[in-house]
Amino acid sequence: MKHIIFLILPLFLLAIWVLLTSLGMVDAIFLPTPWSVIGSIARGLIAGSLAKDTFITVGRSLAGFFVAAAIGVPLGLLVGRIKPLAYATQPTIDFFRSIPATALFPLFLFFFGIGDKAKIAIVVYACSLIVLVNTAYGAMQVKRMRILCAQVMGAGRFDIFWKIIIPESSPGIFAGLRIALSLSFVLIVVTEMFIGTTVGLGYQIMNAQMVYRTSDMYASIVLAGIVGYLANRSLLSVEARVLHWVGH
Amino acid sequence: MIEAQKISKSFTSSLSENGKLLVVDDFSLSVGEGELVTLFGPNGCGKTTILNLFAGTIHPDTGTVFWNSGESRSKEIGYVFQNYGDTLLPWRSVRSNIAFPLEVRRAEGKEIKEKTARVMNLFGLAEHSDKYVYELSGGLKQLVAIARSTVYYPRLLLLDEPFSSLDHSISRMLWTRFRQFWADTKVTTIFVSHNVDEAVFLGDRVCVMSSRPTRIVAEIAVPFGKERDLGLVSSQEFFNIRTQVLRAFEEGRNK
Repeated sequence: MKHIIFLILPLFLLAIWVLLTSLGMVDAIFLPTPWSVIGSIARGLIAGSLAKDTFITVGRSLAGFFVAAAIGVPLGLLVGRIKPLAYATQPTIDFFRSIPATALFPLFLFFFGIGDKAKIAIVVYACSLIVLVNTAYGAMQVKRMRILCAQVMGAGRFDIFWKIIIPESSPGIFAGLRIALSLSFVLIVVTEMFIGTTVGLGYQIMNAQMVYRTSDMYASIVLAGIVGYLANRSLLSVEARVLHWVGH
Repeated sequence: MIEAQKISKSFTSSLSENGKLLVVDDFSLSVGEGELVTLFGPNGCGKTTILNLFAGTIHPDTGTVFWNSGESRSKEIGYVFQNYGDTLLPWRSVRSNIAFPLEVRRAEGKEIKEKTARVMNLFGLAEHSDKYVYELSGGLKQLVAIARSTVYYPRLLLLDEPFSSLDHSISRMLWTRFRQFWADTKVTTIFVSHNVDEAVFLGDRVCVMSSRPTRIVAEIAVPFGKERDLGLVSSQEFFNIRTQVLRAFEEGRNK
């Protein structure tokens, strides 16, 4: 039961989709049948074009995600452990993370042009702040007693940082990474829709929408959801291995 | 020998009139090489503060703590904190927790392996070596904390009510194991307890503390030798010393 329970909600949603479309309750121009969407996915993947779009979107998302993690984790650890730095940076961080990254399109276009760099930079901007804040929160939760005990046992700053602070901050780090990973896919798809490109799932969604190929549009949307889901599952399996000790 | 000489320590407190709470006042204690001293006193009297002063995690306002040989205290101390759960590393296995102090002292791999194995055998932890600490019972966790604090053979071992959260039978089992460990290693030890039986069973000398600001009201020798078993607790001699300790405790509490 445990292994199939996760299928109940998707199957329920699929049933509603089938019901709505087969009974003609929604016009196919807004919501085509699941079968036509599956057909579009199959055709696109066999032809190779949709596979290429998916690959490009995943590549851009992961590039942004990894750069964001590389910036957000170390900065978050510093902000979380150095109180004056936290006081000094908190208002600025809160200000920038309240701004929707997509509202800053013009600024990113100015600095990075209309290529992949701008898209990835938007992901880096939005996701690094999320990773930073969650990591900082995790680093603030490190037990003072654990550090004190390590010091008594002879641990220096380097060991305390690597062997105590980083592992104990890891629940916060992973919380940030999980949110950032999903957001990176969303942002890349959105930027592909609006910033100049001729490949990527976002571009295909926009393109299909413009010419009323609704099945193709939903094929790209469903694929974006599937790759986002698979990426999250991968991260969760890493997290389960690293954070086995949390909650005990 | 390690010695605290006329140490005083106060902390900022909004509860007292002058904004300071005097916890330790003019406190002196010397512990001989290889001696096991137990500190027994009322709750909140300042026993933990005394241990922290010996550990060097806080510093006295006046007075000094020093080895009579004049050596630095750094890296010479093993400290088992009262809330040991907050000091163990749950992401590491039992073996890895115990090896931690050796790692941070940059011991070589072979030395780490040997010393860790030795101390795990000593405390009966060998069969649990690959488990994570969250998979252990409270008693075993406490043994891991003690094993970790002794794996580098500190010159001074400080224990702050390490068995207080364990049930009667487990804590008694740990008394004998700990006493055996101490008899084998002869590490100089200061053991804080609020259990009179524990203080008398484990100590070569019981220092009875007064209420805050704390000082020693009586030092009672416990002449039962190095090797002790639990049968001792029901003996007349044990009862007599226990009575002396409790009498001094009452005097100290009402001072």
